Amino acid sequence: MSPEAATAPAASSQDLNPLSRPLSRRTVVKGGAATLGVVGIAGLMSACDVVAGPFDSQLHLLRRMTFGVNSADRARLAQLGQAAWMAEQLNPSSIDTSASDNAVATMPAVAMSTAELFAAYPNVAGANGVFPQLALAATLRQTNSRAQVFERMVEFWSDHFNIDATGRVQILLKFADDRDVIRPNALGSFRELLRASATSPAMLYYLDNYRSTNGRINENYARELLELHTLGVNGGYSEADVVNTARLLTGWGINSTNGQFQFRNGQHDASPMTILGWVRPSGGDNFAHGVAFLDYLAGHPATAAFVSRKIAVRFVGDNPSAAIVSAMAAAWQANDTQIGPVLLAMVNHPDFASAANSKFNRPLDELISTVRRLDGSLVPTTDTSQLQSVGAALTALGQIPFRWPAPNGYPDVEGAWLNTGSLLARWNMVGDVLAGAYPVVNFDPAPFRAGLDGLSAEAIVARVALDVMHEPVTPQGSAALLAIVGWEAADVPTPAEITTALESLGLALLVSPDAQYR
Amino acid sequence: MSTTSPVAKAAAPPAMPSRRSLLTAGLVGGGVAAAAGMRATTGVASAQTSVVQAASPAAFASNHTSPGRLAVVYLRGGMDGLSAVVPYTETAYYDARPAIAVPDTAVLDLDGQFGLHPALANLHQLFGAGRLSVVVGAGNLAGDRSHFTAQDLSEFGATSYPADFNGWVGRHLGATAGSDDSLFRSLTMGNNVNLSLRGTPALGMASIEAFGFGGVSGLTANRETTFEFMYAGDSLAELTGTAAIRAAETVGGINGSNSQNATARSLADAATLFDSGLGVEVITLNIGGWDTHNLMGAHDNGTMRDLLLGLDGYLGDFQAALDDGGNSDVTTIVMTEFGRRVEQNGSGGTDHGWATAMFVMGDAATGGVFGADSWVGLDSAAIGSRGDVVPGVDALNVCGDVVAGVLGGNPSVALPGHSYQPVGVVS
Repeated sequence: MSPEAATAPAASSQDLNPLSRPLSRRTVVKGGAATLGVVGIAGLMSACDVVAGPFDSQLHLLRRMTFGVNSADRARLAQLGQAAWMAEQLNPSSIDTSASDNAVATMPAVAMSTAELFAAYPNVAGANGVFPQLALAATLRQTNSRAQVFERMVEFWSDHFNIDATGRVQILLKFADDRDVIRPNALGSFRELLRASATSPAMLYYLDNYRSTNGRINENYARELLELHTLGVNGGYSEADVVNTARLLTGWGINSTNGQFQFRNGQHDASPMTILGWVRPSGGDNFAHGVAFLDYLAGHPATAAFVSRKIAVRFVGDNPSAAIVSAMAAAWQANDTQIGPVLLAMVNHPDFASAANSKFNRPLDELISTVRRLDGSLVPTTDTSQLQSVGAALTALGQIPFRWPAPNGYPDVEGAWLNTGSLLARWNMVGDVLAGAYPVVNFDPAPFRAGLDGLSAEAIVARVALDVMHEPVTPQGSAALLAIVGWEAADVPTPAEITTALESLGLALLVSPDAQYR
Repeated sequence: MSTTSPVAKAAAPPAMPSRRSLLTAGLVGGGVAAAAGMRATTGVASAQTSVVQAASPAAFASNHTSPGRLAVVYLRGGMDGLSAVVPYTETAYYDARPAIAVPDTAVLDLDGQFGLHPALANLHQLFGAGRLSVVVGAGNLAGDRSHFTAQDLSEFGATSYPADFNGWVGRHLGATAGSDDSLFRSLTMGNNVNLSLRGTPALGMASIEAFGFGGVSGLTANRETTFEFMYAGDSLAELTGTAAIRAAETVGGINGSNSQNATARSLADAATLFDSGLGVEVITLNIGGWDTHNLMGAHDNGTMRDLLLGLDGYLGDFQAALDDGGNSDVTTIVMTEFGRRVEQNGSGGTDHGWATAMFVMGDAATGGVFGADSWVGLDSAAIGSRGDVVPGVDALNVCGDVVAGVLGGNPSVALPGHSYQPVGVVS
């Protein structure tokens, strides 16, 4: 790993993820005992009370499997029904993504080869300047693309196979990793994805395997391959297995001329070895032995269970049931590590629906879902100051794509993200979006304004809440929204008053606790 | 669904006076009445009152009588203790590390057996002044080589995942919580609150400057009032939101660091908060980059020199800022998840190991080298088949010393299930 890596507070990938344990109310409220007497038993309590409706399985599916509910995807799902919508989403080549593809294509670095990038950006300042194109391309696709499940899995694997795009080399290599490793395999088979990741120059560099040679090994990648990418920390491997994995992958390096993967047999340790249940064949192609071991890992039951659970944490809840994880792992094994069937097993499992509105958004979830709730989009740019403003906004949120320093990827549980500073940052982000502070965010308030003239204040807040949140406002939500804009329920505001109030209502709804959960 | 009464939200007036102006006035003038009046007009739910009370000016001065306050500096990635605190008399050290060992002629001597890396000049000066305890051979007895497991365990203060999933600092603070504690009693400078604080209310604050209602646009109109209405309930998110609003109102009156260096900014902000009179008792923060698998370099150039030079500058500046503000009751503990293998690896770096060095800095530090008596050395018999620095000091005992000696707490509360044996780093 680079010296920049592993800077982050631990967010364990274990089954016993400490941050996935619900915080007790007492950890927030001062004076525990006295407070408990007032509010009752500490524990999970939904924060959602501004809008509420009966359970809507389509809405739930969109919240979990897309980057936020917008009108277009809501309509598409209503038209197709859940099964056909999932089938379409799991076959992303059938979806017209030309609009988002064309937008990304206006940022030329995203399509450049590694050699071209290294030639074009010979110093760290240049690399830092071009990095926001990659970050904006990712967030733009998350916001605009119709292939939402695909983009969700791109994000998932970008965390799973985390590479910290910090420093010139890792920034420039991450472009190819995103384009050629993660994206082509995001909804294919895990086996192919793992092979691609293990031969990705960005990964080989980030976790130092490119320097690991016969008799002079570097264990960094080998350990994280077993601990984070495949078996999981409790997957049954030993310290000797880590060393042998490193030896098996010696000579897996980077061609310094073109920045592509290169296997150097002369630097390879060809010793016989057994790693877990895998026995190295005698003779044959040394590189193929490493690939065979990767395939063994991809199909290992511990890998199926570990990665399935991690997917469930992303899409179901911080503590997914053993039943849903088992169903997913079974689909993994039955379908030759194909990812689509694992996702289907998840969304079709009864436990998928049982935890609506309980998954706490990460900061980027919050940004993207805010724009999507407004039926907005991100617009590409190569303008330096606009790209810098993108960087500033993501820095303020605390989640820059591809910039988590440690190899475990951004944490994905409420305990990691629900804190005072994080809430302030996301609230301010919403205010900034609505105030037009981000030139790359585009949305049209007119549809939200249309048809409100002549309605009562109560009817107006109900309409705006429904349009933004896709669920009916609650009585207490209505009262709070009316109070914020200074209206009585029966008032009939003037058109000018409505126009003025719209941004306040949008701010209130989009920062509400309801909007922090999906 | 929240149990919040709709009345609580509806009762709040639509056009609230600026809370910030009220609270700032209250702070400046000691105007408790003004703050109390403001609270009454908001009509917040009773369940929230404790959070609001905690933020009231009257409570900003902590009522806790602990002997001192604490900064926890966590070096993420696994700091190589053998580079920071060099056993410079041992042939085995130089044999194991031909490319990266610190020459005995270059170390800053501590006790004739161990010497600091030459980049650690500020720490050496503090050592000379009796304000730095240096612990050698300190490790978590679990000996786990996973970054994430080892970080978790060290922050839990345990050798296996504990039943309460709380942190060693959080347990102490939770056990000593009072009804009028400062909202600022503990916090993490960063985007994610550290696990070590779990078990007590703790703020997360990326920086003082960012902790407000302006965002990147600087626009604040109506924001605070809106946030207030939306977070008036008593769910976890809403209580956290209310705490954020209260804390931001207060922090808005404090000038934060404008450093572009995030670590320097965090430490400068931490010193400012310790000096603020807001009842700050514990601050945790993180410094990254210590996972040195690759090209650590010689003692006078390269990655490890740069990391240690950075650390020395950060800690030196931090202690100086604390001293300048008259806050030398703050003690700093410097810890990491594990040390690194004795032998350098194939690429001029070191892979994950076990025991490492720890530092305790400040007036409360006893001063001196700890763990030399139990140091087992680095020859092949001592490091065993794993090739590790084998811990002679249980790192949990160093934490126990800090709990007892700095915070006036009970180590058996902070470190449940651990049989605490004092090391003596704090006195």
